[in-house]
This record gives sequence, structure tokens and C-alpha cells, in this order.
Amino acid sequence: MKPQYWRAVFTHEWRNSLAARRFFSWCFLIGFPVLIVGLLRYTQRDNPDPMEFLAWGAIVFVLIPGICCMLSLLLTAAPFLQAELEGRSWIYLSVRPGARDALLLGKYLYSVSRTVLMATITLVICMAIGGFLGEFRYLLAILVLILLGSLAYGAIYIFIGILIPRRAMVVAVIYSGLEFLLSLFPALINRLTVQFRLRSLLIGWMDWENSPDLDFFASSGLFSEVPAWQHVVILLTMTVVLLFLAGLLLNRREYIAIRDE
Amino acid sequence: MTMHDLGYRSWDADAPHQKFSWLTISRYGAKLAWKSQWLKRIIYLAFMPFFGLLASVFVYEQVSNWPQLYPALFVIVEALEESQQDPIEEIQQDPIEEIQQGPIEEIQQGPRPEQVLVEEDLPTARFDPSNIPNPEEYVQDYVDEHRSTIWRIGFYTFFRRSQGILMVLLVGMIAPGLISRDMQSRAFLLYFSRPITPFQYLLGKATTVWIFLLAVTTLPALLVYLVGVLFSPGLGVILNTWDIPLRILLATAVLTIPTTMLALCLSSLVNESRYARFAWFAIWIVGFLSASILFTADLQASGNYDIWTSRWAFLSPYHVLGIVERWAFGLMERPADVIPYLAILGVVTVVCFGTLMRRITAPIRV
Amino acid sequence: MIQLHNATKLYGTVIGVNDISLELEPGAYGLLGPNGSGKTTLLNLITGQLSPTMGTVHLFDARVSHDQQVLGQVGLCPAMDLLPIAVDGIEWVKYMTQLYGFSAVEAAERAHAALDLVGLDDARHRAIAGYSRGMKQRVKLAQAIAHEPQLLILDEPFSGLDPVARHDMTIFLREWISRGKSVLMASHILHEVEAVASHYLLIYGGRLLANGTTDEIFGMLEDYPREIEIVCDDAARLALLVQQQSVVDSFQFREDGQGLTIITRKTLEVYQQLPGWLEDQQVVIREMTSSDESLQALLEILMKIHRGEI
Repeated sequence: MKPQYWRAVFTHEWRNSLAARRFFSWCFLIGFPVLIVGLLRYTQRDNPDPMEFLAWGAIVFVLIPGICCMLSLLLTAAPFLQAELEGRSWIYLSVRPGARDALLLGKYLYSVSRTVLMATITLVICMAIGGFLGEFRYLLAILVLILLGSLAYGAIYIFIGILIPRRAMVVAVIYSGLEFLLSLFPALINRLTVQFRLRSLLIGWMDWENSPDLDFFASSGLFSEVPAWQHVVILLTMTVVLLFLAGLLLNRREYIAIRDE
Repeated sequence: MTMHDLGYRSWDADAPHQKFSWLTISRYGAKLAWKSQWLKRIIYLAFMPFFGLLASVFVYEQVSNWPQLYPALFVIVEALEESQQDPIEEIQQDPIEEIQQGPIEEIQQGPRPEQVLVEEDLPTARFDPSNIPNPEEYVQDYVDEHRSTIWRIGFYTFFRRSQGILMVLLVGMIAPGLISRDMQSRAFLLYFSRPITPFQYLLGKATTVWIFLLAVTTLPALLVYLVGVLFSPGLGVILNTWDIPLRILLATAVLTIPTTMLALCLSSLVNESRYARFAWFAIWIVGFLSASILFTADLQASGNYDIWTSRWAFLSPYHVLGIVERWAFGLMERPADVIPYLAILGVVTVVCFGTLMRRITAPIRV
Repeated sequence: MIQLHNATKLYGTVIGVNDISLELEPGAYGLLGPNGSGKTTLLNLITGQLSPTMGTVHLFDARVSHDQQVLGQVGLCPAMDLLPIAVDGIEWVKYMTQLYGFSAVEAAERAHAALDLVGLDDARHRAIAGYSRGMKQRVKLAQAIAHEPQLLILDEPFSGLDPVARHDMTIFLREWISRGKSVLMASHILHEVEAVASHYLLIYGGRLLANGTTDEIFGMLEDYPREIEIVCDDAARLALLVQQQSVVDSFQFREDGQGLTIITRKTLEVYQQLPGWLEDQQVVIREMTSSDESLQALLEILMKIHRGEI
């Protein structure tokens, strides 16, 4: 597939994303973590025993690579095919050579790049408000987690979006909830979740393995101390495999326009 | 005289069944929604907690026939009642586990004298069959004494924990497309070319959602109540549980009206349902997370455990509904604490209703 | 250009297209049939939207599922109405053109040229949400022709257009054909197809009933009976006259009793002999019609044959 195919989709989606009517979603996704961190800071202002950095770090990890990225991908990645089918533009796209793959790759890259950009802006603002902008190690760690999480969850949501185009968003929400719960099970199953890998990477990169506050996590096997590169390889492999399967499905399935339900 | 000068002819006959036009809209909407396989799956899943509640009520009413359950009965009843008296909710330890652990020196959430238990306080110590001449009668009296509270806790848990979450999924599946689809296809012009008022249109759309919500909340709860009465010792049980069906209806109203108005309001604001659906889920997820994080921080900072007076509960629709449902089932120690949250639900309902009416009537306003 | 060999498409147990075989050389073709006859399914098979359940479909000697590049030679203007979207007409056509592999600059030039050709002027810089039906149809056509395809496939192109727009569309299609390009146009508005195409594919119930020019198809139907409707003042008298004639296969009275419907395999002879039958009989003919010479009648005859009625 020539690059200009997916670049056309990528550029088109970004142009739509920056339109005035999409402004609200940008504000919401950037604003809510900032608001929460701001309120947290407010609650801590008179606290004689302020929250430790680990607690702040955990909260920002849950908020940004967790919820903020998930919501952004829920909006852009999960319904990527549903949008074309409901908008009746699928037939125009699918009659173009290589358009299916272009749509997949273009929209995936758009949703990942949008999510990464949004999460990065949010992260910087949150860290500034939280008063730990100087924690460069943490900043870098979270930036990498934002990227890895967006790549992995983007692939998962895209795959769900192709598998069940009509109910992509609902199924993605159910999946995310289930995955989060499964990631807390002290069993083999949690190693199959993206959350487990991201959590382990953060704890490893910040050297929090031996923190007494994480004793429960450590004893329950809720993070792994294997080298970071293994987690990264697993996440990237998961991403590539899911995208490949998504491409296979998209090219083999026959789609007709669906009613907006 | 010009041709076709017929003058304006107003409608002065009675339109038959006009008052129930909204029912036609809701029936059609429900039939359409029911075609979704995923909705059917979620509805079937939503009935699983019903069976759990049914089994619980059945066992509670019949426990006097099973002596091997007597010790567990006291433990569970005491734990449930204590859990409702103790206002810590989301961060509370499992009460059974707490009791079984014995004395608690310190808990992660911060020291709180009332939560430290000593072994002699364990309810099992009070039940010693060898000291009771007629254990079965003793247990039956105990069951009668605590029936109202336990049933109310059971129904509250049903509405709050299981059906509360399923409600979010159900409404998220059904509601976002109800009005946005009509706006996208301009079908509302077809609706309003008939003798249907905007309010009837809105009522019809809302009832479409309520049909499914009632099917997984109110009807199962009322059925469980009926089963509980039928498997209780006598009709006298109605005397001390007569309020429960009314509470069930009140909890239903709390659960369904504001949430449906919100979902339909979101649906009316966009042409594509996926944005409304996203907004719906985002409000619940972000609200829950915000309240949980800030509540935990408050706990750590000031030792304020009381979610019922927590200043952050209002951020989360799930918490607000939980507080009001708790009041609806008479489980709040200070009922007046519910007033701000009732006000929030009222404001949300009114604002969403007003927005809906404006959006629906916008195309036909000249 | 297009080859189908025993192509069948099933939607579960519903037959969309039933065992169609045909070979089309470059030219202008009208795909005719009533609603639900399988026109859109056939077009979807040709463009690779659907895969045949049985048989094969080749487009420019390639199977679309194996070689998607062949779609670069095809432009599709589907029947579906564009839903309102908040994108300018020119931006959308440019985006669609880029998906054929053109650079942004070249796509923009082609998009403007295509919109000029279809007659969408200043409105191209407005959002499609504000377009009329005719303007949306022009935009749809523009995205189908911007990359200069060899074959233009149109599904119900005249649907929803006012008479002026229909005239413009007809002129455009004639010019397109005159440039040596091919057109495959699906429609149930027969006289508009007749104005553009000379070769017809008649489809009904998923089956290809006939394939050829009007003369060729009518030639095939020479041995099939036709109807001639006569309105007169004395139907009974006319019936007595007609029943003695050997060229008439059968006749029946009109429902209103004001004439007869004559069924015959020898239409021309009936026309020639009818004045002679009526001579000195004082039967006044008020109206005589035969719709057999139009494509509509042709389709009706073929449908009756297909249903086993004749």
C-alpha cells in the first residue's frame, strides 16, 4: 500500500478533529484530569501529612495513560468502522483500491497520535499543577506508557470495531472494565492484560518495587519484575498481531451500510 | 374567487387514541431495540442478580428449617446491619473478613475507634444452641425482628451494585440513538406532522428506555418481594414490610427518570449516536473516578470517612444515585443529608428536560 | 470489460443474484429492473463490494478480491444518499480522489475539474450538510469521475432529481460516452436509461432476463404474444369481428366494458387488417394503444415469461 493512501485518511481525520464542533471533546479529555489533579492539590493544601509522590504518581497513571487515553481511543478507534457504515461513506471508500487497509492504518495512526498529543498536554499541565514537574524520570516514564498504552489499546479497540462494528463502543467499554478487573487477579490471566504490563513498567522504571506502600501489589503478583524490554516487546507484539488480524478481517468481510442504532 | 381558496380548516374533531400516541412511539422503539442481539444478551445477564437476590430472600425466610445455617445467619445479619450503619462504602473491607480477622489494630484507611472489634463482640458468641430451649423459634423471632432491615439492604444492594451498573450499559445501548437518529433522518418531521405533541414524543422515547429498565429492576424486585412474602411464615410479614414495594418504586423513579433524561438530552444534542454514547459513558466513568480519587485523598488528609457528607460525591452520578437510593430504602442514619443530592437529581432532570424540549421543537419553531 | 460466469449471491437463504453469466465489452449499458430485482447486488458484485457465493466475477480481466488496483479504472456513484456531513464538497471530493493514490495537489486539481464538469460552482466551498438533493448527486458524480475512470457505474443516478437536473445528467452522460468511456447505469426510470444507453440488461428476481439492444431483445420476443388495447363504443360488436380473425390469439373485455384487449403474436398484421375489419361495421375506435414498443412493456413481457404466465 502506498503511503499516500493512509496519509490521505490520516490528514482527513485530523482536519475533521480540529473543526470547531470537535472542540468540546478536546476540552473534556484534557480538562477532566486537570480538574481532578487541581482539586486534589486543593484538598492537600492544608494537609500536615501531604500525599507522597508515589500516590500522586499512581493517580496520574490511572488518570492519563488509563482513563484519558481509554476515553480518547473509545471515541476515535472503537467506532472507526461504525462511523463509515453509519455515515454511508463506506461504499465510497471500499471501492477505492487499497482503501480498506488505508482506512485501518490511517484511522489507527490518527487515533493514536490524537490520544498521545492530548495525553501529553494533559500530563504536563497535571504535573505542573501537582507541583512535580521536576520529576523528569516520571514524566518520561508516563510519556512512554502513554505511547505504548495508546498503541496497544488502539489496536484492541480497532479490532473490536471491526469484529462488532454496530456495538463497538459498548463492547469496548465492557472489555476495558473486564480487563481492568482481570489485571487485578493474582493469576496468570492478569499477564495477558495491557494494564498489568503498563503497571509493571511504571513500577519498574520508578524503582517502586520495594516501596512498602506497594507491598500488597507485590505479594499479590499484581506487577512483574521481569526486565522492561520484555513488557515492551509483548505490548508491541500484541499491537502488531491485533492490527494484522484486524486487517485480515476488514479485507475479507462484506459490510453493508447500517442504520444508526 | 380564486381557485384553491379553501381557507384554513382547523381540526375540530376528536383524534381517537390521541392521548396514547406516545405508547405507539415507545412500543415501536422497544421493538426496534429488541432486535439487537447484544441488548438481549445484556438483558439476560441483568437477570442473574435477580436470581441471587431471590435465593438470598428465600434462604433468609427458610433459614429456621436449616439449623446448620444458624451461626452463619447471625454473622451475616449483624455484618450487613453494621455495614449500613458504618458509612464507609467503597473503601470498606469485606465485613465478614473484618470480623473473622479479629481485633484490628490499624486499617489502611486510618484509625477509627468504632471499627476496632474484639472477639467478645462477635455475634457468634451470642448464639449458643445449648443455652436456647427452642432454637428454631429463637431463630424465627430473630428473622422476624430483622426482616425489614435485611430485605431493605438486599433490595438496596440489588439496585445499587448490580442493576446500577447494568443500567449504565442498558441505557448506553438504547438511548443514544433514539433522538439523534430521528434528527439525522429528519423523522421528527414525520412525527410532528401527526397530532403528536413534543411532550408525547419525548414521553414515548423515554418510555422506550423505561420498559427495559423496569424489566430488569422493578419487576424482578417486586417479584422477589412477592416470593419473600409467600415463603415467609405468614401474611403478617406484610405488616412490617408493606413499605418495601413503595420503596422499590421510589428507587426505580430515582434510578430511571434522571438517567433517562440525561441520556436522551445527550442524544438530542448530536446527530450521530456514537458521540452521545461516548458522552454517556464518559460522564459515568469520569465521575466515578473523580469522586473515588478525591474521596480517598480526603480520607488520607482529614480522616473524613463519611461518603454521605463527602463534598465530592456530587461529582459522580453513581455516588449520587447511591446516596438517594440509600435514602429511598430507609438506610440513611441522617435522612436530611439526602436533600442536596435530591436537588442535584432534580436539577439534572429539569435542565435535561428543558434542553430536550428545545431541541425537539427547534425544527418546528418558526 | 466485465465478465460474470454463473455468478450467484446468496444472503443466507435469500437469493440476491441468481446464476448470471454475461460478458460486456466497453460501451454504454442500462441495467433495468424493478426494485428488489438484484440491480444493486449485481453492481456490488462487479465492484467487489460483495463476493459471489458461486461463480466468478471479473472486472477488466481481474478479480477484484485478488487485485484491488483494478478498481482504479472504475468510478462508482452509488444510490445511497450522502448523509449530511460538515465537510466542504471540494474537500470531500479531493479526499476521495486522494484515495486513488493522487497527491494532495493533483487531487485538488482533479476535484475542481470534476466539480466544474458536473456544474457545482460556488457551493463546492460549502458544507455538504447544506446541499440540496441535486447538489449532493453532483458531488457524488464528481467523486466518481475525478480520477478519469474507464468505467462509470451509476446506481439510480436520476433518483430525486428535478427535471432540469435530470436533463443535465443525461447531457453529461452522453458526453461521457462520446469520449469513449463506458457506462453501466442501473435504474428503474426506463425512459431516462433509453436516452443514454443503447444496450440493456434486464434483471428480475436476481435473474438476467435479457441482454442486448432493444431491437435484439424485441427480435427474441417475436414469437411471444403482445397486447393491443382498443377503446370503442361497441365492444361486443368488435369482439364478434375480432374472434373470426386468425391473426388474433385471444381477446378479453376491458374492465370498464369500453373496449377490448387483443392478444396476438402478429401485431403488425393486426394493425394492417384492423381497418378492413371495421369497414361498414359502424364501430367507432376512440383509442388504440400498445405499450409493447417501449422498454417498460418489454420488461413486463419478460417478467411474465419468467413467472410462467406466458
